[in-house]
Amino acid sequence: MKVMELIIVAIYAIAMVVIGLYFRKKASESTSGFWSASASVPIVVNSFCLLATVMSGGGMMGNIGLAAALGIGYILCANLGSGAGLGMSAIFVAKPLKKSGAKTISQFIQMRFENKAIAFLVPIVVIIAYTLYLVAQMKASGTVGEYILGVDFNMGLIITWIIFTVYVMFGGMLAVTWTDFIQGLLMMAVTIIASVATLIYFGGYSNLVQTATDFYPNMGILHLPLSSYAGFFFVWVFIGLCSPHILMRVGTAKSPFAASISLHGGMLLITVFSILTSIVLGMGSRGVMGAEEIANRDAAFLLLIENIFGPAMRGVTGAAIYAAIMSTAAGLLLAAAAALSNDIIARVKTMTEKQQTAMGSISVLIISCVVLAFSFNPPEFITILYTQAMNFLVCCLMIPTLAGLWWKRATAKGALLAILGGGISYAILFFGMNLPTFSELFIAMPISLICMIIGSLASTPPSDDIIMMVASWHEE
Amino acid sequence: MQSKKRFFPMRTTDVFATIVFFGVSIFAFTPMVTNAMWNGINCCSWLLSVLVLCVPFYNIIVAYATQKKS
Repeated sequence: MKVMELIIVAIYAIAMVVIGLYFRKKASESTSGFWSASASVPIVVNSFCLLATVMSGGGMMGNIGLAAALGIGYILCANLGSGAGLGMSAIFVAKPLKKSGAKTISQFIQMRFENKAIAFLVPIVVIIAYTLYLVAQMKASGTVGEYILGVDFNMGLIITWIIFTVYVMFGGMLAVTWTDFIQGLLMMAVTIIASVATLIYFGGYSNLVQTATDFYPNMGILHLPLSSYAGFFFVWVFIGLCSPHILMRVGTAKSPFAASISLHGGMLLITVFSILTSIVLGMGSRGVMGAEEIANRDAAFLLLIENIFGPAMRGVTGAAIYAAIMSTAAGLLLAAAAALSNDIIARVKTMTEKQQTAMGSISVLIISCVVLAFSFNPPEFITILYTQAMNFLVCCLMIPTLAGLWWKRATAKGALLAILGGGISYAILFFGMNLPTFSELFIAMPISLICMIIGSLASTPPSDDIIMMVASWHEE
Repeated sequence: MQSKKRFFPMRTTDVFATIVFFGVSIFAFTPMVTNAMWNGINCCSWLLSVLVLCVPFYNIIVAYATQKKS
């Protein structure tokens, strides 16, 4: 067990739990308080929250391992795509979503397309995709526990699980916001310090590139099928347009303008973070790995910090990685719990405001327990696992979301067909065909679009009331 | 009475940003760009990095300018 690292991570963990318990009373007072922090979050805070939410254990660890193992191009595409997705979200989704008053993407889709099948299908898609995404974060936490704290993989997993489950369950979006803000600051600070330390360790950028390329000649080259790189980039762009845990941030902003600026600010922070982690830390990790492969590629960054940092900074880095894991896990957990509580349970059982917030906490616990059960035997690459889960979500939800916001002729039947067409075609392509990784998007998305168009044109146009409602969301 | 237009209107600056973003990012994945190298890294990665760094600056400036005007 590594004592110094353990102490630093423990201080960080206790601080997160204290924040959760501090906001317990305020979060339980109203559903607005629990799910959207009473729409009171400042722009700068929201921008750092978005950095923390989007850049997960994958962003801080798995991505660096992927860069070291497969070259910079692959993961840089994903990271830059995720930043760009926020910018696209600010243009296409933020303002009308904020003005609609919907707190979740499921709520918004139901407001626009009143259909019972959609009302149950959308939260189920969210819960499936987010459970897989959460399992990937759990793997990261177990790996960090092993390498930084010197504890057993399962113990690291369980400790992380307890911490974020507690603060999300009791503090809701208020706790998630302020913990995300601290976590975002910590992640960015450690990334900048680690990048500077890596450049010093290798004697400058040119030496770093030379060393990494000597050990792995494909480091800077795009050597995989181009459709994989393009797929990795665009899937993350599209995720930003319809991802529930990102769009819940829109609900926490004070106004549509603030929501838009927060997303652009988040995009800027993510881009800087992406370039430093993918290029400098990715190459640095390969530099210390040498030409050999390591058993757990997701731990490549941890090998790097063993070489460039002493125990204190390793502890702080461990805290930053846990920050990355917990911030994303908290956002995912809250979004999945919202899907379960507000979009499934609330439809079958009428509840008072207080009962709804209590049900929110219970839903957090239920989802969290399911995730833990799946987390003890995870697959190899964290980043690929959760990207494929989000690929599925995008193929189901992106077209109905955008069509609902921008196309007057979009109908509920069109949206239902689009969800089914996108989801089923993705599943067939993923399980039944051997396509380059992430390229399923380029087939399933057009299928979803065609289904949307045909389904909408073949059914009765939406009423004037619905069109006027959507028009009001677009007004300046 | 509904307007005859099929889509809800989007601001010209947003349309411009979207076209530039998708145009440049698709161009970045053409063989001409992906095969070129600079400082040890392929030019697709460099071009995407510059694009994704510039877009938020543009959008933030436009958003504040529009807010000030209104």
